[in-house]
Amino acid sequence: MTGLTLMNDTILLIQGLSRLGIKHFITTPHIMRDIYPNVGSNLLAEGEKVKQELKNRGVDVTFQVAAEYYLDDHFMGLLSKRDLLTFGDNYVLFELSFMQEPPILQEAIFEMQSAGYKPILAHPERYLYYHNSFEVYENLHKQGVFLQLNLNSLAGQYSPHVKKTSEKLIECQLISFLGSDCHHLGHIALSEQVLSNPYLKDLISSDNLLNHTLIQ
Amino acid sequence: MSFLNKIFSRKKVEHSVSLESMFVDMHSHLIPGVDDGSNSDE
Repeated sequence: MTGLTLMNDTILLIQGLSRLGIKHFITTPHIMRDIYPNVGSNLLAEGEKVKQELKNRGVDVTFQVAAEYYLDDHFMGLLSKRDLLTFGDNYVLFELSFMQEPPILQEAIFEMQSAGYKPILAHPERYLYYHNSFEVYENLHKQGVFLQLNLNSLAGQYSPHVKKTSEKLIECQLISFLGSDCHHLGHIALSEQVLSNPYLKDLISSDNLLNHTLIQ
Repeated sequence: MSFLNKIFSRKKVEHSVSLESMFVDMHSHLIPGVDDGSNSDE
């Protein structure tokens, strides 16, 4: 696949999401040392190319670059150097292993908050090991960790259990941010399906969502 | 509730919401070539 084709897909993705009503994008590429060894500077540079292409094609959206950090030793190193891509009011988006809770989770939360960062846990509904320990979500929320739900989790994209947990997180008013976690064009059709989901309506009409505070 | 009301209450129309209410999508993978995002693969 050529770079041009990939850039074209990017523009199509953004246009598709824009048709659903989203006009402001904070894109969050993975930073995961062993698999996606990105650094902030290269992501910002690549993001500028996307911005330019959007401008060239007259796509009227805002586009900002941050990251989705995988919680591991590499992240802890970046954190100790205060070398993180943030957005809004110093928010940092991070994700966990899907296999088990990382033993450094509490240390990482403490270090992030001590450094003035506001941690947002990406797609908490997708960590199966928390599904039978719902109090973990409540405790994270109480600790000041913001929880971000994936839009398509409500569509059942991942599994019925993930969908059920998403609904419960909304019912318990634990969700502060909603994100598409959009990776490919197939996400758009799924996102469209979920627009009539009653839990999504409840979330959007509640005062809990903070997405609107991120407009630059 | 009358019989007619019961019948009509079943005809609930589901209205879609606009994601404009989200204002900002703060989690996406849209930069080509840097991770597993922005390609046509399912």
